[in-house]
Amino acid sequence: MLVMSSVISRASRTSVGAPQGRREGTFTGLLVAASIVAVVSAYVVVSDTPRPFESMVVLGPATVITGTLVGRWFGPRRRRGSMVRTTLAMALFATAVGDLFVGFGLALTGMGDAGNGPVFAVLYSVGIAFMLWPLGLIFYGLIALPITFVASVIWWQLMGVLLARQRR
Amino acid sequence: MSDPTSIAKLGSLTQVVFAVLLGTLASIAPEPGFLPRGVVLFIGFAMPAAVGALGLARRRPALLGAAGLTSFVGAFVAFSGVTMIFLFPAVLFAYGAVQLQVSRPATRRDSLAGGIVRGAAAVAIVVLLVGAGASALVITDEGCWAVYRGPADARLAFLPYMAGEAVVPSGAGSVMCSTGMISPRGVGLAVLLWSGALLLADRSSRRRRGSYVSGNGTHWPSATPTATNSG
Repeated sequence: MLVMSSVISRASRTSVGAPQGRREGTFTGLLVAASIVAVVSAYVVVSDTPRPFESMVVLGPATVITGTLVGRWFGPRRRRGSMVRTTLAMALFATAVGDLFVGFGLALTGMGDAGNGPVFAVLYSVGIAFMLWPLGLIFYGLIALPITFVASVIWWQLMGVLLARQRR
Repeated sequence: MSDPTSIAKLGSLTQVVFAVLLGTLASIAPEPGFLPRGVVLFIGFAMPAAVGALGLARRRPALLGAAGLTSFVGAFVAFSGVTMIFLFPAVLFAYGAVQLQVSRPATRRDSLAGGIVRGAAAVAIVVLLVGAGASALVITDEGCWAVYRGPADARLAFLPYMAGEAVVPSGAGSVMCSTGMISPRGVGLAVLLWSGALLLADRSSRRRRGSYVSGNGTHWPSATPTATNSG
């Protein structure tokens, strides 16, 4: 999805032959994201996904935000944004990527449903870690990144083990 | 982005849209109860947006911080991970609070004591909002209901709670039981706490009589001839 967003954003700029603004990049990213959401939604509805609506609610905003930000970043820049705004964009991007992991985790395995295994644990661990560190970055600086990452991985692995034991 | 409140506005809007999404999601599988679960979830998750909007209108970063923190806590409510989407408005609120605080000139900032009072009020608002959400979803009733499927729609009939094996009444398609049905006690307490949070947000964010907030968020005394009242 990221590759597609960037490629289409770049391709549209080349084909137009004139420098495009960030607005066009954003629009392209949004368009690509919307198409991906439509495809994923169709897949989720048609396939035997345990939690179809939950996964769509998580995946929808995450894909749109990721697509928008990628579209903006890969579009030509008229001026550099401030450090604070870049931090916000990075925070939103990381949260969106984290949500993508959780959304796919829901779509593929479904939290609390049968069939949860290592794939589920890894998707959730990485997703939660991605989502937690931006808030840590804003409030506590880079120290929060490794701490939240390690803590969330351990937490979700433990939860996975506990859930598996409970089901047996 | 010249307007220091634009990101926080986006946060409030996102919070409401996501609350609608979650409420709709919870209404897909209906259950009998005092109030539909979707409505309770919508109100609970829209409350931070209301607090954030008040903070925006009165240019109070503490209220935006409270909205962000409540949204952050709410993001971890659902074990399925579906509420994780509320981390987006949480980030936006947090950023909006910082942006609003930084945009105010140091010479015009409020006193330290006032800041501490508003910070304490913000913490209390978070506690009240989280408590309200928890009481609405945790103080629940138990009960069973039979699902009668007609040609066009399904009808639900309430039954007393059956601890053992559920007995399906004649004509019913299935019987479902739950110990987590939305109860009047839980919602009643939640309404009290929500009202308390909004009241506290309103009271703690009021500005002194005779002072104004200009369009860019600067706090001016009333004697300043260039002041405009938008807050």
